[in-house]
Amino acid sequence: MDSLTSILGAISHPSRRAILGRLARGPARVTEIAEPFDMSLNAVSKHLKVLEEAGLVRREVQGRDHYIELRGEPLRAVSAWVHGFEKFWTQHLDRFEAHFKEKRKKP
Amino acid sequence: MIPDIAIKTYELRIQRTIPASPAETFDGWLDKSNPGTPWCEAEADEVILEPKVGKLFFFARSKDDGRRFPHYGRFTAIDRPHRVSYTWMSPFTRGLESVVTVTFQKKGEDTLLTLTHANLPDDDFGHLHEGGWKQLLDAIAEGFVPRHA
Repeated sequence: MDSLTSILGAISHPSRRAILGRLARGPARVTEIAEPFDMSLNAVSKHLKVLEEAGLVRREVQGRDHYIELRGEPLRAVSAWVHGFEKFWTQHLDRFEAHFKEKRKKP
Repeated sequence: MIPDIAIKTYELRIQRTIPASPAETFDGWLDKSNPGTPWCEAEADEVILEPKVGKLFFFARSKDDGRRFPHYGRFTAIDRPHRVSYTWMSPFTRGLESVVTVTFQKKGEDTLLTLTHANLPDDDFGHLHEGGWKQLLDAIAEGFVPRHA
């Protein structure tokens, strides 16, 4: 399984996207992550494991607490892929349009 | 037996108003000295451009890190000053022959340029184009400040 496939698999579940949304605000303990969701700690841990395997979150152990932190880089790669062609043409058309604007300005 | 390798595809469409006549805009699009064209010599390497039906274009783009991205295509329609269509293959089309069509419509003193890029691979990513996904990815990717990047 390549990394994009594992990332997409990880974010295909609405609960895992909600967890990522929560972590975008900052690192949190597992119990804090579970709090707003109607899910058992066990279920949250399973989701976190999938996210961890996809490289989307990182776990840091401080004493008895496990802090979970978002790693945004893999998502950036997916986002760039999705937008790739649109970005390519938008940037080209910007320059194409600008060129003709300049040309029209000249007498 | 031919393996099932059907790949889901998608199409994107972008419109722009260009401050020039359709003929000027059309000619500009097929001119490799014109900024913003995909084969603009100032923006790509090794440009080959023969805009005639059945003929080809080629150019390569190189990233700062040395990666090189060759692009190939074949002109399938040239109808001055209304429409130009060509196939488009690059590392990003994953072996698919995608199709770009650009139309030029008169709009007062200007030209409405419509670019469609069809048959783009959407296999693993099809669901990303459905509502909300892009926004979600953007929000998360942009809101995040990498600490370990």
